[in-house]
Amino acid sequence: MTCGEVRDNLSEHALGLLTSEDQREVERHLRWCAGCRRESAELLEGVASVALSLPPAEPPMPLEPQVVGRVSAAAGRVRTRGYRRGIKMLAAATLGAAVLATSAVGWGVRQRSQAEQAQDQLQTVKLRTANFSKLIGQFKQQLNSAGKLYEASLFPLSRREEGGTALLYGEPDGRGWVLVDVVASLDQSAGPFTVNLVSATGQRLAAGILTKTQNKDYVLLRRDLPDDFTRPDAVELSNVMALEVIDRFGTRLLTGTVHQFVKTPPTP
Amino acid sequence: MTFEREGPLSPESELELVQQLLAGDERAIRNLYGRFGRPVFTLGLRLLGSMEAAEELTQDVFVAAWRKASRFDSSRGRLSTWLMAIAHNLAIDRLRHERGAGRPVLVLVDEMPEPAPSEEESHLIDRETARRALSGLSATERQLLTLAYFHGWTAREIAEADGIPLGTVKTRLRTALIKLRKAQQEQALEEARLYDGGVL
Repeated sequence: MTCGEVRDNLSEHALGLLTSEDQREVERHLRWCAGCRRESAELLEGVASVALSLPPAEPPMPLEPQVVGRVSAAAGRVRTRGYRRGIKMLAAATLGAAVLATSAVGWGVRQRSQAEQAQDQLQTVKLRTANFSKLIGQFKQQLNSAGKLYEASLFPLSRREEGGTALLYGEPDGRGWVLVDVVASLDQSAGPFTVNLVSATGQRLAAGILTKTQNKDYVLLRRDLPDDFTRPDAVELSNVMALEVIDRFGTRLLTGTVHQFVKTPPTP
Repeated sequence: MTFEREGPLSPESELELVQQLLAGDERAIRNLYGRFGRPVFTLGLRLLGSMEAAEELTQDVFVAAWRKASRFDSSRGRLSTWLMAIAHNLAIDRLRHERGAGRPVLVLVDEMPEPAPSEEESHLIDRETARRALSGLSATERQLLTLAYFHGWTAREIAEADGIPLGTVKTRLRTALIKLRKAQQEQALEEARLYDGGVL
């Protein structure tokens, strides 16, 4: 939508009368247009004043504990589901390494003996884990302690023994980082393999393309997300609900749900 | 930080309160309810017409506020504006979903009883400010706002019902909201002056 079109809709937007699609379009525009954002704020204040003009009705006494109970329960459920507060970068790296190690132990039988194959695979995983830990260390050194950290475990849609870990980091000034490490036997002819960030509304933003390393895992490290996030069709880091890896045909190969950590990582 | 339930919050305090809400801090939830529970409940009652619906809406509003807390941007407006927008949007969604089935009796914005003597002064000032702002609107503007705000009618629906151009409806709605906002801003400055001077 252009500024003119958005401004034409701002009164209805403030009054909550737009369709979901128009609402999304307007919200998307407001993320980057300061002028329209200013007008939107003014109209919203006007709308709020209508509510404040109403003669107040006294809510029943039990409503307060009900409200407190529901919000507390919702916040508690999120914590229980894995949105853990206070998890540090090191713990996240350990988690990533654990995922890789666990995946490696479960890898399947080949022509050589199982023991030899397991040993080879464990060695490979150790190398990959070390590589990922090194990446995490480098990533961690460059983070601002006031930002927000997100994590996702990536699971393949076919081979269960493979997978990956993703870390996203949003700085207070809006800059965003993403680090993805995937351990998988990807068919090279189906490449390149793109990592997409997926919002709650299904919006997709390509974060980058996986690069194959010498250790045969695939890595993406992107430090300049905001250049894309300033586009009207960009995805806000806080709205990212999932990550996916797709091949050049658009086939989804791995996917994972993003969890937000409330506590920020320690200053390196 | 300890938040007092009365008295205006600075933008920094509002942001901190929302962050505490996001973290599920019970004191923050109670504080937020203490400040906004009544207007949210009132709005629910006026739009949805029953105590039960208003109670459900109030709970839904505060849960939605927690869910959206990470997106609160104090540079885009006050906490009250943000929260009442959530409340109004949820109420209108429910109203439009139930459209045609037992519409509640609506209170027009210029039909308001006198305030109860025991009412807290800060609420009185807010409401008095809003009342004065509404009285500054033309009859047409008040009517349009009533249809949009309390009935959930879109500009197109209003235009078709009243037989006036869509563009005219949108312009009038915008003008009405800007007038309300300007009047409230002027009063807020006066209120801040009185508060700082120890009158409030």
